[in-house]
Amino acid sequence: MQVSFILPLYNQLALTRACLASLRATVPASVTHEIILIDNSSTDETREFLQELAPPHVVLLNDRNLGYAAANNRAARVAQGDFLALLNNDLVLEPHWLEPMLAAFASHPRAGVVGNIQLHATSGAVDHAGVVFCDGGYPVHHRGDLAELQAAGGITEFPAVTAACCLVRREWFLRASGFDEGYHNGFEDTDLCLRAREDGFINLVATHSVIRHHISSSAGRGAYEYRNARRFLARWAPRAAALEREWNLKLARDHAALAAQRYFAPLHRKLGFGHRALRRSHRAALMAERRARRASSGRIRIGIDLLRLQPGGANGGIKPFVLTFLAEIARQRGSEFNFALFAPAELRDELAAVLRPGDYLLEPAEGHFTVSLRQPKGWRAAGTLSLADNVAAKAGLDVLYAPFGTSQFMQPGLPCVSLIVDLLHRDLPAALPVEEVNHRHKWFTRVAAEATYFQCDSHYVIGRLCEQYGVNPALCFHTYNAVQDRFPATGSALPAGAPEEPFFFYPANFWPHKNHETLLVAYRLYAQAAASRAWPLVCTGHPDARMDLLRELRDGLGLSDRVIFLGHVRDEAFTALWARAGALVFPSLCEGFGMPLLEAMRFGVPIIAADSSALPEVAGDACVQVDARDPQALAETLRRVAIRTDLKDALIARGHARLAAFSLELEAGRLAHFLAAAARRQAP
Amino acid sequence: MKIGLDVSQTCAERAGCAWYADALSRALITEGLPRGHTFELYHHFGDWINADTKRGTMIDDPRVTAPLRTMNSAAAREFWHEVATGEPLPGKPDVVFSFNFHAPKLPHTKLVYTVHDLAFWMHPAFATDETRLVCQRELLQALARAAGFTFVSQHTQNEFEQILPAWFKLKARPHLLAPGASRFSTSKEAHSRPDSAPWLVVGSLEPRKNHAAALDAYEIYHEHSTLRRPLVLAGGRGWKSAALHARLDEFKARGFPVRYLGYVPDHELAALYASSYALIAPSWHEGFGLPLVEAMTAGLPALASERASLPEVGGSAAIYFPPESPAALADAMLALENEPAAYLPRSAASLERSQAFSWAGTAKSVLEFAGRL
Repeated sequence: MQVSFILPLYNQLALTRACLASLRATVPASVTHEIILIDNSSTDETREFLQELAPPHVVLLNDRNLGYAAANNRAARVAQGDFLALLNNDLVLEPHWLEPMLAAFASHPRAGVVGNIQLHATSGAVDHAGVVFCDGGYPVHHRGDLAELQAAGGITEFPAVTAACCLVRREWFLRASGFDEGYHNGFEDTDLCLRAREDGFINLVATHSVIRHHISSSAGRGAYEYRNARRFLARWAPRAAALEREWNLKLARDHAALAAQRYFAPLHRKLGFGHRALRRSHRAALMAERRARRASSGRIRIGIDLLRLQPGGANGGIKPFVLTFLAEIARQRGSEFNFALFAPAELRDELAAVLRPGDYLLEPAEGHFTVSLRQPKGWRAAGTLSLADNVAAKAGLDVLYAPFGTSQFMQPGLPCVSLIVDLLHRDLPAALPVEEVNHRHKWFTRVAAEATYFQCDSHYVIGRLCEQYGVNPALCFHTYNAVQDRFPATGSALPAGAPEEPFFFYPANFWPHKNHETLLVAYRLYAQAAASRAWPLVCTGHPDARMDLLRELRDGLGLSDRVIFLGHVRDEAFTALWARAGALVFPSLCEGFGMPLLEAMRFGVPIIAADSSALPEVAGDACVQVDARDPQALAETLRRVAIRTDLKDALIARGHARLAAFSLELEAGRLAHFLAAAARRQAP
Repeated sequence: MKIGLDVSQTCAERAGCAWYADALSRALITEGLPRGHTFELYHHFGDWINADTKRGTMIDDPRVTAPLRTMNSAAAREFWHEVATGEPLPGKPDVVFSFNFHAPKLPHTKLVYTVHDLAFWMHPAFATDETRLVCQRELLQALARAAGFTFVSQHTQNEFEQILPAWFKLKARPHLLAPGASRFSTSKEAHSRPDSAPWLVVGSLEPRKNHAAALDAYEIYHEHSTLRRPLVLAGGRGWKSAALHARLDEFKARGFPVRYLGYVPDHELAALYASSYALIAPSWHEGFGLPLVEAMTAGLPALASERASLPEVGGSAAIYFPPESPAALADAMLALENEPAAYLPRSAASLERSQAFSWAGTAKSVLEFAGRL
């Protein structure tokens, strides 16, 4: 099915009837569709009217007024169409309104929310031709002359559009969790549009789609204006204000360019003057407009500082996370982006998959970087860069990406996106040597002051970063580490030493905050009680001195034959382990995200996780939460999950459903969006 | 025997475990020297490295040496690293007692590990992250490394059995009950106190000590009492105690006779016990409960929480209340105060109960235990 029309209703039956009639009359016969009417507990004859309707109408009844956002979200969950057409019930749809909006998606692969032009139903004046911002980020309708708006282009980009009548892809709408139900009948649409921008989409107005709207006949908007505005501004104000400034600049530029063209073009034609004869101001206006257009479409060179990357698994989750994201960004925006990747030479083979022809690899050597150019087949040496030089400038970087947070290449004038994976040194300093706590604090302080944008791997981390280092939330964005698909679907043989029977699985490096000690004690309690029926415990992770210590502790507990430390495991063997695992146990005391949770969801493995840091945000209802500091509580949870089939099945099902919220395409798209915005110095 | 004693904790501001290390070390030396044993005191121990060892326990006797006392922290760290990789301890002791939760690798000697409490596992919310991470790691290391264990109370040993069931049976490792005792000599006889003698709470201000219940109860008591005895709190500032300190300020503003003394050194503590009316010990959890036994040696009646090791220490002499119920504590306070005739018998019962614990007795059984290893 192509389109699901969604109309939330509350009273005003006459308007609803008229709107429906105009909709039925204007949907092209070739468009397969359904019309979802969701009633927010109307008190007039709406309910009786709805009883008469037959397919393609779908009627949903709410037993109380859920408000605009929740009603639409509920309808979206049952919708079947590729696109959702969100409509108010006080519209009068005009012939050929739908086709230009669908065409916008066809011609713009990155289209997010597509709106149209809405005329005042009685006066006929343009009431909406897009949403822009004024007064420091407050959303208002852009208005103007219909003919001029249409002359400016058939499809125009706007920061946002109204959802009185808009089109959006259902898949994205659901992934983005739809409208924010924290608003009450207002601002939901602008919030949605800004989230679409964050995910790397652009919002468009199809100017040849023109409809009429009975303005403000919808109930209950004004009452919540102040509350809604506060919620909106709290989240978006600085960013919306930047969009406002950018919009005003664009207006000024367009106006000057238009004036220059109008004034000069006729003279130019008539007299045959050369370019030099242009008045200086007109020439400047035309140049400025051309520059702006180029700036928003030219290629961007992204410097990526991976100098702290290590071979094998010593970096933990950050390595698969960053490499998978970079490969996805190259796939999505390869035509726009070039990478200049700084990394140790021994990682060249691992990085080859990320780099495309035209990308550079810069490897540190004595006193300089060796530069290699990626070519369709192999590499070409492209000289060296001395460390004494300004490497970032010489490498022609438009933006710097610092996946380890800080970077030696950070400098004034070079926009920088820093990845912040956790605030372990603040949240659990006891798990780090004091020198490391001080070192991290120092670089956090610097990055907080100097980075352009902050990529955090969960909302939890954003909250911690803003609270601990006073970072402006508008400069932060989250990208969930949705890299669960990097493992092959079918695995190799089980690694040597792994048990054949189901087991508790804990993949984590042996860092103190991963809490292996409490797990060992809890596991022993469980194993004592379950006796011969006890599942073994399998731990994987980069082998180091801590792993040797944990082996000693395991032996001291008398668990030598039940707890297995496998060391670092390759991807194929990981898949094999996931296929056999009985449950994931993830008792880490501090996580910015927790990638194994998504891997467990993907491979259908039930999850036991700590109830703190970012883990509840990631696992949601798809896990059993436990205070991981408490060995007795943890042991009881192990016991419960191992024996209760119904619980395991429920966890697996919920995990599977939850995976839909973690899409690599969207998460990486958001990073790409902020990298591009930083490089082009545009509002994100 | 040559016996190594960990006195590392005695170098810092002392709390229960440090006092235990100090008092037991002194008693072991007093009892051990006549039996022909010699001693080494370690002022840095395992990962417990002190910036300054001046305040640490010292014994002036040629048979007791302190080889690490003059070492600075960098040298001490280096020293313990070498011990872990095979260097023998100076004086080559036959057995080494760890009192500070740490279980370093000692390839050439037998380690005896003292378990003070398992609060970090039983009540994780009552331990700081640092305490929890260090204590559990070190206890697990002790399971792999120690030749014997001592427990400061039967209750602590029960908790050990509860969290690590059947471990002793599995590993056949010897263990001993080595309870603490008062550092102060017992008062000669029970005596009554003036109307101005205060209620006393001893212990640093941290969640486990449940000072909040004492303050809640005091508020009720203050409303109903005619004497309105003051409340005195002695103990370090502690942690997670901002709310408590704010509460104390509020009490002061309301004119309640409540005094917070901060950390009280032990010579002043004895005088404080002697001048107080009764001890309140409202803890959620204790490994032993040194203030309880010390208050009893001063002849103070004690109102104690019914949890953990406190009933074991207080025996039938103390009055118990559930720590979650400030009202019950307030009732007990008012009952004690309103029945002056019962005060002297209660004081006598405390004195008698305190006789059940003595450092000399504990030291004797510990020496015997070490000889059997």
